[in-house]
Amino acid sequence: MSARRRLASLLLAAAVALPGAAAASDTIREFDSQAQRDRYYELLEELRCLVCQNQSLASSDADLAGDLRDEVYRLVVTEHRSNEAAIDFLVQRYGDFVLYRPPVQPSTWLLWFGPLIMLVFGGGTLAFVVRRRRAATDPELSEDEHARAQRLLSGDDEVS
Amino acid sequence: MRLRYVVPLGIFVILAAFLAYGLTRDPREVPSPLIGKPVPAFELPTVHDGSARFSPQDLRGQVWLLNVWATWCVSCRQEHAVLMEAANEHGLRIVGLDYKDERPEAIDWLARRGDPYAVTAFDKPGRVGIDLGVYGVPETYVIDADGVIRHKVIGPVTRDKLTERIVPLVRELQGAAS
Repeated sequence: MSARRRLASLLLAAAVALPGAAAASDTIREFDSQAQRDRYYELLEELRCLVCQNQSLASSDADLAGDLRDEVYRLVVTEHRSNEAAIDFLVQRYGDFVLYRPPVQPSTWLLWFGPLIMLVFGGGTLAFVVRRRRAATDPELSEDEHARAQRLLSGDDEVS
Repeated sequence: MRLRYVVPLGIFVILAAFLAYGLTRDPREVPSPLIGKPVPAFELPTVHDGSARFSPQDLRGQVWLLNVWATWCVSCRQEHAVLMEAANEHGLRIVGLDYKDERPEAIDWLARRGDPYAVTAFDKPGRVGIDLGVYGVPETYVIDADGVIRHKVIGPVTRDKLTERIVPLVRELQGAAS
């Protein structure tokens, strides 16, 4: 029973680990250092595949994604270029669309600042509504009521 | 008080209008950053002759189409008839770029279906395709006499796109060149 359970947990661990390992494992890559390796895989996560548009270069199985991974590898590892150089290479050919994090420019202002504008607008509306409602539900106490509340609070009178 | 109903309704209408507009757009058509830029330099063997070379430089001074295709590409079959028409009836100069393909199959395809191309460059590794920003075959570029990319069609060139967009553009560019 315990052997079987151990096998089961092993299989589970393999199943969890495999998708990560399978991504972009079509070619065996060699790196000079762990840092370089991390840089390469981080880049692939940041770049979008144009064929299956909601996948990154790291996770896409498309033929073109494989070719583009080769290009990124060539630039970053073989030619020791910077991340920016690799990103520029792709943007020059495929446009800003390859970036999962689009640059801040006039055409993307709405995208970047829209949520903030919505937040300010929503917060303002909320504050306005709450204040108005409070004003509407806060009845003024009459003289008598005020005196009675005073008495109740000081505790020297029983509730009548 | 009336405002309380008008404002959400207004927001809804604006949102619906944006979403409706979004539905009319094709998310697969990613605008190419290469439009208005010179066609990337390359030199490739041709499909029919491994020792012959084609370079975009060869067509300086002419207006031409660069059509990226492959025998494994299904919609290229559909597009082929339109390209034949473009070459034979409209007299357009089309250069093929056979992308990630096998040479014998490409030669066979052209022999059987007809060859609309003035010349077909052979890009087996797909490197030139990357320089051109190709991500889905077929793709077609309109290139002017100065070697500048003026227009790009992603996906098959349909008869409508040919007669309404490409032919008028080519005539206009030819007029500007001469």
